[in-house]
Amino acid sequence: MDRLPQDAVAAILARLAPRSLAASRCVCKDWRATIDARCNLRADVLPITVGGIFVSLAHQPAAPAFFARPSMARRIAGKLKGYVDLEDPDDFPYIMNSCNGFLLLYGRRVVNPATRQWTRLPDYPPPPECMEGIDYESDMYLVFHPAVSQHYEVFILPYVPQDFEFNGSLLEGTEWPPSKCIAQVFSSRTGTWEQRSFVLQGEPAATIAHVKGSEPHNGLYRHGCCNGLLLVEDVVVNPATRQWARLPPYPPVSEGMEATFWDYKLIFDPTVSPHYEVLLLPCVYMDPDLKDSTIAYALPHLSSFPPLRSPLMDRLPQDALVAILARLAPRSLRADLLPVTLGSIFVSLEHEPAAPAFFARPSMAHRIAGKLKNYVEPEYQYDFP
Amino acid sequence: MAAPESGDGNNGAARMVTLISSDNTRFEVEAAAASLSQTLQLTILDGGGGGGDGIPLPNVDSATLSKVLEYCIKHAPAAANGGAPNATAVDRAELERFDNEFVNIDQSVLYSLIMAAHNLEIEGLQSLVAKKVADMIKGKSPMEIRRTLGFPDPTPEEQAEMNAHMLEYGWAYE
Repeated sequence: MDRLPQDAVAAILARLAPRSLAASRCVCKDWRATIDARCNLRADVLPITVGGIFVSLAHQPAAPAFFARPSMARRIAGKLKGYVDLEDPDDFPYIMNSCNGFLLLYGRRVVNPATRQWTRLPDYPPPPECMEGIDYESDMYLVFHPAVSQHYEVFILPYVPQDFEFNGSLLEGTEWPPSKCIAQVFSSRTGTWEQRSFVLQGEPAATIAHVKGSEPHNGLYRHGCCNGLLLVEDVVVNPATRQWARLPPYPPVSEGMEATFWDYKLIFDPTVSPHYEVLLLPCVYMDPDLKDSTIAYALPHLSSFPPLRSPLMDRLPQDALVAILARLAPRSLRADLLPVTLGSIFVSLEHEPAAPAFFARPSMAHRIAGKLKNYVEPEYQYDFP
Repeated sequence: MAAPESGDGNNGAARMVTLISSDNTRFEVEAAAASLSQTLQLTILDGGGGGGDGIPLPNVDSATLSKVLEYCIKHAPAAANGGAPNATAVDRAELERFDNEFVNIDQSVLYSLIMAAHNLEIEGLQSLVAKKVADMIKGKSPMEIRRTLGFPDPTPEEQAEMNAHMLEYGWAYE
């Protein structure tokens, strides 16, 4: 077979998917020449796998666990503490959010684990005047896409803390999220913080009293988002086109994993492929009474968990290979961010039987369909997205 | 260059042509089947290969030619229907079963078939054998591909080159 004419080799290689084509390129010089001359194998359009997964344990004084694919283990620096300076050397890095390979750590640190580069953001700006007592430090999101820009943005959304005292214009019955949601936005381009307004489309979801201190560790949201697509229960929605699709039934739980729950991660990158994938991660409820035993139970399984390989082939851009983040105990307020220019924000209220609140930038309001219920058919009458 | 309306003595029967393999074995086959080969088609349209003449194929041995003709005879009726738009599902399933069975062969035979399919330019056979080899490649590492396809062991230089190129698309070799 090593003496086949180039035409014959080209006919064979033309039938291969990028992954096999890339492997074939290393087989011999002749094949490499054939592929380079006749096949469309471009590094920048190759599907990129998930390089690794960081798992942060909420309320657990430990560094994030890092699970790497074999080929990526040497290319992604999972031990954040080895190269990121923390405020207090005894502290541990806590991942608040991640986006297309960048990590946002507690303490205003943005990290690229593929290059070991990191930076510290300037001090938080004071909260907007009308938002006295509202926490502008806890609900943070990173927005980054290497194919669009080398720059990233960090969004902080208003969060109602446990010890919030009603005051001035913020009363018990004040609707929440507010109809005009002010986000604090840091841009790495300007190096400064600024305020950016998002306008609520439709009815507010709840009141301040409802969401006050409704802190994490009650359960896992099954919602996810990635570069503009949303995962709502078992439905994937593109709010920009109003298209949606229902996933086939989730595969059965593997043996020994009955006590776990699934965290769903949506993987999608329109600059790489029109296809998306959904990753299932095993998780446990964070029951304070179970403490360490719970975590010890969950993590060893995660490291050898086969569906990590099959249902998911990530499309993360190559140089920012890294990671997606699975938080075992999510925040109660969840914002789903739509890059590339952040057109809007979806906010799902945990344990609130209401559709997600949708905030849009004025320019995007008519382009993104925020009322999911209008065009996504729920499975049951009483369902809400 | 219009196709002759019979006229070679086989009254009423399909026109036959003779192909001669590299080891001088003569194969008599229907012109329609042999015409699946783009290379032979022009010669046959010109009236060649009939009678005692025969078309010599110096690059194809008798074992391979007999295998190639088995494919052509099976596929000729469907090809005559212009890609068989009228074919029933049963016909198509039968052809598919035949194809799968057909390439279930030794690698040396497969190699000869690839060479013959390209020399004779038989499009369907070309893509059938290409698919077979592609299936053998799928999901394998560069070394596994070499072994599967019977490449000789790489020289140290080749090995070093393979390693260097594998770094370029590291994710492909997990």
